[in-house]
Amino acid sequence: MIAQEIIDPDKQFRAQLVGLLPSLRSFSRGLCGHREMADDLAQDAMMRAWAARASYAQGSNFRAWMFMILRNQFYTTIRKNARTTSLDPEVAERLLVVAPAQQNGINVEDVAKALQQLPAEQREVLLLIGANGLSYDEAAEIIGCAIGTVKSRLARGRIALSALIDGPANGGLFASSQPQVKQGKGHDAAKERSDALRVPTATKLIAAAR
Amino acid sequence: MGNANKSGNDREDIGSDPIAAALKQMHDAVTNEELPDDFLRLLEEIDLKIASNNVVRG
Repeated sequence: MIAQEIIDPDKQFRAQLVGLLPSLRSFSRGLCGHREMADDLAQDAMMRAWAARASYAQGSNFRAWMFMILRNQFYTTIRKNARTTSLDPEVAERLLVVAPAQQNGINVEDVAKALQQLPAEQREVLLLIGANGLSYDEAAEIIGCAIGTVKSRLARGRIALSALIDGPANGGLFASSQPQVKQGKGHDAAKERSDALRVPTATKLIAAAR
Repeated sequence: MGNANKSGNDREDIGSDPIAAALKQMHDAVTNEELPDDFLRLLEEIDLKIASNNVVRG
């Protein structure tokens, strides 16, 4: 005999929330560049989501819904408090608490610092797609814009990040990387997304710095 | 790598890009941290609310 269990929607909601907290903290940290501020923001988003749980449609994208709440809260906060956006990069470096490490010649701390110097609209796309692995669709849903906008912000953010890390004069960090492949019919979305994250050519880097 | 993207998971390709890999490493560093006590306290608050709602419902 199979026991019939009534699933408590609140418990279900809580379980989804708990599962998402690490990613939520990561997105928040990347947006704020400040550990304590980011955790405050994530906690605020968590409680707002709980209070608004009745408006969440079961079966829809919980991650996108939660990230949207956190993102909205982030922009509300920076509107109220300009110091969040003008955080000293050296302070950000101390507070990010990213272990010093190299990724194929790139220092992760350099990327973390450069990320904080980007406009928030480019930073959030890099965080959502590059760090959290979300799809273009999900990122567009969270940001509330068209997929094309997400793609162009990702490309611009990627170019700006490379330029900040290495400077345009050196032609980018990875001059040996292949330029973007021209897309033909039948290309898949994942390949396109991957290409968008690839290192741009030196010409594009120089253009971005102007 | 070839057809790795057929499933829609492009982690493998993104992982070959150093900046994307650095972003992923930043993400992993945070997700691997222990959840701070403040979050646990909020979860306890939620548990209390769930419990009290269930009492009211009977």
